Amino acid sequence: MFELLSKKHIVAKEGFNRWLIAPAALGIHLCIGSVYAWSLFNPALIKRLGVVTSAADDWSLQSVTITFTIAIVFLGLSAAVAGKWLEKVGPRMVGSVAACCWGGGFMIGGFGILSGQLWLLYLGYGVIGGCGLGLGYVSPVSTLIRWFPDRRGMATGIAIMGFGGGAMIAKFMIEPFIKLFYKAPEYLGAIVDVTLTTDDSGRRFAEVAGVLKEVVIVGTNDIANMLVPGPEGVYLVGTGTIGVAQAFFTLGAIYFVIMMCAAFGYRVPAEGWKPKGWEPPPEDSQHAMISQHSVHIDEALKTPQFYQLWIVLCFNVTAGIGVLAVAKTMMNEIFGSTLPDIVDFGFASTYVLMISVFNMCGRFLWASASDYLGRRNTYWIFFTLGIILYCSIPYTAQQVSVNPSVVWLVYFYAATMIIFTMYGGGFATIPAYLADIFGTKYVGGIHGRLLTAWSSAGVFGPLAITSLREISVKNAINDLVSKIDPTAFQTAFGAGIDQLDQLVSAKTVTISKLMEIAPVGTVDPTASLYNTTMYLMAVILFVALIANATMRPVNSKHHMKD
Amino acid sequence: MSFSFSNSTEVFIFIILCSVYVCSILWIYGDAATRDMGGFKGGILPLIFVIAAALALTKGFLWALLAWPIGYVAWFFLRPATAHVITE
Repeated sequence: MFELLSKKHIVAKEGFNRWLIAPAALGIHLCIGSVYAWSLFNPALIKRLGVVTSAADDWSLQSVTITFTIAIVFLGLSAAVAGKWLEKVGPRMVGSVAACCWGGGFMIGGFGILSGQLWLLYLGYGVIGGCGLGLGYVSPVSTLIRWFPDRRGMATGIAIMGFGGGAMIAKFMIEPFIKLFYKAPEYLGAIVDVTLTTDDSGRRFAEVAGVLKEVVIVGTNDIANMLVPGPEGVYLVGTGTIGVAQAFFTLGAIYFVIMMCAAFGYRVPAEGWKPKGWEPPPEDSQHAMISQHSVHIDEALKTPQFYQLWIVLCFNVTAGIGVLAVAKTMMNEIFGSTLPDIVDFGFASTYVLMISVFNMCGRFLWASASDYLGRRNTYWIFFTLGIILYCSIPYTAQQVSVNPSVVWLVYFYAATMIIFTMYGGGFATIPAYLADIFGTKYVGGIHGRLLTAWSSAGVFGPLAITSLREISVKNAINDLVSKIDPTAFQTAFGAGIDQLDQLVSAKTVTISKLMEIAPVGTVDPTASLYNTTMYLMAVILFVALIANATMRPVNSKHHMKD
Repeated sequence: MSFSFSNSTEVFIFIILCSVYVCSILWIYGDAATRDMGGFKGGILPLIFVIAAALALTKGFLWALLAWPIGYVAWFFLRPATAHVITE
């Protein structure tokens, strides 16, 4: 069986159509790309017992969202550790193990949900599934680069585009599956018809057949958050099925089958194979950035070029996360309040969908364009254009607050969409850049180790964004309070300014509430809350620009001997 | 794990330091391989730095800052003296 998966077993025969590798790679990336749809599981996971609304013993939102972070961290770690193994055993073996991990991770996670063991969800989806992500992500990269030495960027762009589009496809499976397996809990009746008691911990109980049983109550405001609409009233805890565990099992099985089929579609070219009529570029000054020599996977870690590319990827991702994290909020808070006739709920939803579309398209278009522009030039464009766009967004937000014109909305829309294409393009172009710098022999493994940059950005990026937002809100509140009459403050909030910190922590004092009592003519600071985030992201891109600009070919002492 | 930053400069420094930390772990990993410390020993030693970093992070930013140079300097004492370039 294992022989069937080995590298020597999948060497393509003469005349094999290299384009058949692309759908196999795309298939794996579409499956693992569904990780970005994790947030669709959250509303169901926090109602595992209550089903219609959260019960006392249900998991908190914070505890279930950690699963996604664990998966992204293990993506980077597994890709880094298994990269060397990939070069040894070949893509089919790695793709098959990825299928087992990703599909199996869903299964174990499903058992965790069924049994109420959160650690099993972390272990299944987070750790094992995360390893499947890392293995699946790197499995086709070096194979594609070897099949398409003439169009490295386009080839890896096709696969990595799948990772960007996986979440969109998953959206059309996750929600229907949850609804398919959903079973509403036993309905006891309207609140007025049921005798309720409350214990010391705040749990609600109702008497059913002479026995007190825990219940949840669905009020008017809860109906909008129900997965399947139902009547207001009292529901018995533990009598329904939210359907998410069964959805996990089904998705795990589907992903396993697709990924295994895709893995069995992998073929590696015979040693020395090259496309008909194609010759490697000559080693002259014009092609100095495309090496015809290979660097060993471990040796690559001792070259400055590896760390330059690490910075390029990490900071491009961090900056992308920065704008991803605030774009939707900015659209709602700034443009939603200044141009309410245009920016309604439907507009905001379309905007979110467009983020995914442009992110996905950017992966293919920029990576393909890099075959003609050159890798370094492509990143030049990412960083110089990125800095300009990031710096212009605060100006746009300020202008729309002063002069609510649709021009600013169009500019903001276009600027953020270009940024999202470059965010995706940064991911998709990096394997080809690595192949240019380190050669093709160990590119899969080196790419795996470089993915630690993604994991790092995935951890400290959101941390930095959250901190920047808190700093901006705190400064804005302090600034507003300094302009407000202390007596008006006392009257509005029932406490003095000396208790500001406690009032902010309890969300009693917010910017919008302070604006209600601020002197006439006070400028609403909401539009400027994201300025520091955007400027910091521009600075980060500048560091990446320096790292990219100083990229030089690897010193020949690191090259492998033929 | 909780961090408190008072301005964007501190956030920038945090990102840079985190990057330096991860890159230095990767460099040690490569250094171990070029000093014939591959396999278990070469894998475990850098992992100790990762675990130390994780523990330091849970204790706060300052602990992480202190742990990194100590671990890094310790590496230069622990590693074998001779290195070679992997060329084949």
